[in-house]
Amino acid sequence: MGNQTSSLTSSIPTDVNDDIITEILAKLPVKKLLQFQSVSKPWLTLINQPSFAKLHYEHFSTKTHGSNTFISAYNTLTRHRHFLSASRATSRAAVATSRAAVSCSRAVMSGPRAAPPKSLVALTHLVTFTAPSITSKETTECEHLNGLILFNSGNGFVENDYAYVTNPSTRETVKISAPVSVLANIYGKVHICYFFGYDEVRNEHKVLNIRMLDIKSLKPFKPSRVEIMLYELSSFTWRKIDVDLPFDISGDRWCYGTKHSVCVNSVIYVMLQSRNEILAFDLRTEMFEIINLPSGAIHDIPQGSSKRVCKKGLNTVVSNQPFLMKVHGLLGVVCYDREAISSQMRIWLLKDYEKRVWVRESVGFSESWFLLDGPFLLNPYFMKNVPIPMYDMERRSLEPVQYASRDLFLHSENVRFDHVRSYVESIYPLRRNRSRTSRAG
Amino acid sequence: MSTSSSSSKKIVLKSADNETFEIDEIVALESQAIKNMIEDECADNVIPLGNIDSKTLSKIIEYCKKHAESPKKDDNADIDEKAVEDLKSFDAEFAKVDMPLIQDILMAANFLNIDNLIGLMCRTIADRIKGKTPEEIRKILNINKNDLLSPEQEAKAREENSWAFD
Repeated sequence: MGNQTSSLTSSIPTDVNDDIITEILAKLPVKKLLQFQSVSKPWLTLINQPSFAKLHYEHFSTKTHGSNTFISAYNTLTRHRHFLSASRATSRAAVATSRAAVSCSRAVMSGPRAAPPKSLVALTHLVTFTAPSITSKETTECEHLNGLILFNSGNGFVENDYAYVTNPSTRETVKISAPVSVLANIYGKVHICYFFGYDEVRNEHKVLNIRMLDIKSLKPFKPSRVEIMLYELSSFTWRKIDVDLPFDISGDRWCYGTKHSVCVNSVIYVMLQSRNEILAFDLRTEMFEIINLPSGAIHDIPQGSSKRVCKKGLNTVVSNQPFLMKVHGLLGVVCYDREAISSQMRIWLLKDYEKRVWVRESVGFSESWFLLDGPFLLNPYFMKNVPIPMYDMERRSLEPVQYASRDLFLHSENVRFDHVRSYVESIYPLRRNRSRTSRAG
Repeated sequence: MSTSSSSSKKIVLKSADNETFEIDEIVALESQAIKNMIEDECADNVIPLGNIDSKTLSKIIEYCKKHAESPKKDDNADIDEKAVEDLKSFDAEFAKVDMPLIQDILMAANFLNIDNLIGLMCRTIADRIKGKTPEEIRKILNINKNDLLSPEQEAKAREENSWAFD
């Protein structure tokens, strides 16, 4: 019997039991996996496989929804861009023990004007880079998808065209060089958009780049050419896609409104603000389609020129723009004109993509969610002890979260939080993957 | 209908050290592998399990008995919470054994294809190795010496993710 036991025990790490080791490792947090890469060669190989990353992500996305936060911050004094992360587990601990909250918040507590927030969340510094100076017209965009974050130079006529992909869990960041465009030099005026996608079939993140081109001297901007490029994170290369957009680009006010995208089931959705239609790009077929909003949702949008603008502090929000979001693995549209003043948020969900079946659902908040700045950060926050409202999916409540930025920055009053996004822990390889590919090639 | 007749039917399992265990068929059906054998009618009255010792096998039977008795989730949508809690605490108690036995149970559960038990053992191992160093894990899981990283590879893996070792 003793012999039997030891022979079974030693058989654990063999090839036959890869599945079992995979099952065990899929239950471990990313930090542990990074340590355990050095246990053995098979473990190193396994932990770096994209298929393992997918399994691990699926496990963690159901277990710990929205417990981590990614923050892109900009220091107006040093012109440095910082990627930060915060774990909500820290916040919970601080709530639980008041002593911990007091001891770690001593820096901020020295002169608080507002009521002290419930918790002070510690920030982790991921990476710093010198950002090109941002003019008042330029914005940056940031999106989380399956564990990775795409951060880019924003929608519009940007002079400094760049994008970064970061995995906040492994603290890896790669810069994606802008695609080389010959046409951009010929035409002169270019409107650039980046959208983040994830191909479920190939288990691969992709970045869609749409460039609208116009002759520089012509005003107003009336695009006459479009360039579509696709970036694959497995090969780290751009590829031109030879398809047309399913609408007349010259007549379209493409550059109007913010272009925020959502990726669901390998399809990237972009709200076309000027048309109240959704542009869909299927990563599997690499084709575009137009999806109409459900008639009930169109009813929610005020017609004609009644463009309502709401003000809250310094933030101005145009409230009649439909907004796309991902809800329980489905595409959701919020037409928040009527929702802004109510405590209910009505979301239209695309239940069936093929048949275009929309279903309306409601989410209730304790008070008007617009007053609480909504479930997403609409404008940059300056770090002047302002708590950021975060919606907690588990508790189903909004709570102010204050970050301990003074521990990281000497002049935290100059640091602006441009984007705050919740993310799911994942081990999707970025840099590790690239160094391996380049070595092989 | 078939439940009453099959519950009385007995199956005999024989361990590697030739110990026999007579169990109700419904308990044996917790194992997908045995279930397939019975369905394909290629199971004799005695099923020999040449790679599972009696200590491991008796633990597995203990687990299957409990789980066969408990109401299944798909049987009843509003299953009472007490039964779920009861099964949870049974699982927690069941996993309180030493590492070699955990691994033996896992290997046997894998062979017999008992999904819940594989999951339970994997979670248990994950919890136990969570706080360990790579060096300790190699010892616990008896990692083959030939599979170790070269000192250069190990240094590189550590250097690339130095923050994870703080």
